[in-house]
Amino acid sequence: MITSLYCSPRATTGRVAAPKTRLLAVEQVSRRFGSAWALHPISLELAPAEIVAIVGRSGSGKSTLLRLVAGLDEPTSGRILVEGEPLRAGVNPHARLMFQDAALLPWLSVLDNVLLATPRGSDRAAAAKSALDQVGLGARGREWPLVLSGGQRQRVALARALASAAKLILLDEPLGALDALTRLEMQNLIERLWIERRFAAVLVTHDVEEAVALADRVLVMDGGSLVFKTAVTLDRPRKRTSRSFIELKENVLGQVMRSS
Amino acid sequence: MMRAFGSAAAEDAGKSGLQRSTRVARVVAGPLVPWILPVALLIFWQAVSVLGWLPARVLPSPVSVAAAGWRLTLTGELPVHLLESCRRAALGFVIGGGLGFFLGLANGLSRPLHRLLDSSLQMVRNVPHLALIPLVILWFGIGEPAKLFLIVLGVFFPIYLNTAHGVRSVEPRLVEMGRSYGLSKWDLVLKVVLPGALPSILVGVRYALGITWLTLIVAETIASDNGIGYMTMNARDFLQTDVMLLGILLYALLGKLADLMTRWMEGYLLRWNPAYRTA
Repeated sequence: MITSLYCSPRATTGRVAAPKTRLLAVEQVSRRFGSAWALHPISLELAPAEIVAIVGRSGSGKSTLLRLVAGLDEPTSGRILVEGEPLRAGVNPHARLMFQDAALLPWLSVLDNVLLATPRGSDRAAAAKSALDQVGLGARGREWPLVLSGGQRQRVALARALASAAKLILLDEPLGALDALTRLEMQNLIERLWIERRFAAVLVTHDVEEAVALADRVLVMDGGSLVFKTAVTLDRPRKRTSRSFIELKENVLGQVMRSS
Repeated sequence: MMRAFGSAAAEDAGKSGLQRSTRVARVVAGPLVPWILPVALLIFWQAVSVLGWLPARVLPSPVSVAAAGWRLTLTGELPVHLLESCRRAALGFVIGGGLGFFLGLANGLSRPLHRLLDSSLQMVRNVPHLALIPLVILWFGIGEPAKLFLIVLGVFFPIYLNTAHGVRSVEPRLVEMGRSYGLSKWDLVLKVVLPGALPSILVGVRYALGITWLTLIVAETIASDNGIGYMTMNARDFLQTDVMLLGILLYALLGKLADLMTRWMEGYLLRWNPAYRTA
């Protein structure tokens, strides 16, 4: 019943005021490895169709937080709710993770890799095909992943995440291994896809510009704690040369540099 | 391998006229190149025999070996022995390989099971299985079970080790991806773990096939009343060197055939991997 609310198409492009309903709620979640705290108790909320970027240096706990939300790891304390339902032990069924490397199965064709993620019941082949079309690789469905370039593989991974019709996409430095030009292309693609499909996402990155370009909110983490947060209210698609974009970027960068 | 060597040589060529002409020769004779040496050897062997420099008691000529093969095919003796040997090899391979595969898979997937079994199995592995022959004869006599047991034992370890190793070295990222995309345990094994372990498993298969033939030769030579090994040993009693040689060459041929089959299987099953893509 609630789901229908999220799926309602929004006619306007550009920024949409987030509804009050929470898609994801992280409540005082922490994670300790042995005696070391990777993550101090942290709280975070995400509305449907909202992108939150988490920026921080290596070891700031941002990937740990993402893995907890994905259900690949269990918190030491606190709880994670999806649509008000606490996450049970095991993988978060509503979230799809995208890694730094595409993590495609090399023994399946590009299309089969996307097909793997599409939910049962629906017209899976059509959903997979249209997701591939959306990332501009519709013609390469029959090829093996190993013949694609790094950027193309990442686009397949993106198509796979989209085709899964998940409520929440978790991006763990998804563009970190790409060259600067491809990275820019991918950021534009993600922005365009977001305008079309309005998915909710948590983006973990150490690229401040990427965070400001894609996210509705940017959080800065350091030493396992949240040290700074800011909303990004710029219109989409965002112009990186605009004064407000640059100011915001400098501000966030300053916060990251100041930390630790 | 041969192909890679050929193409590298072709790239090097083309610098001088002489090299260009060798390249032409290579392109024309490309697939025949590996056969030059064996054929030359056969011709030399035949010539030496015909000239009488090599007594037939020591080494009969290739033509007489072929004739012996033809003669035994007509009497029906050769097909029976060949079939018997192949059946034995296949049965032993399937049982031993199957056991090795499932135990390897289980141990690769389950850490407790691995801890429980692996070190014991590694210990047994260090005993050369052919060293058990006296014991095996004591247990099973000299009948069929003894031979099968030896083959099963020989095949088990390479398949077990390579399957377990392959399963454990599947990229954790891919397993994590599979979990994140909600694959069931069964799907995870079938679609992620097994294909990922396949290159390693196939190495085990190839190794095991070599062991199968080796074990078969020994087992059939020691005690048997059929199979190529029996045929060879029987021929020794009657000083039929041509039949003995025929048996030896048949073993070589069967081994080569099995190897070709695994190569073809690798080329097909691992066609997604550029490193294995052949023809």
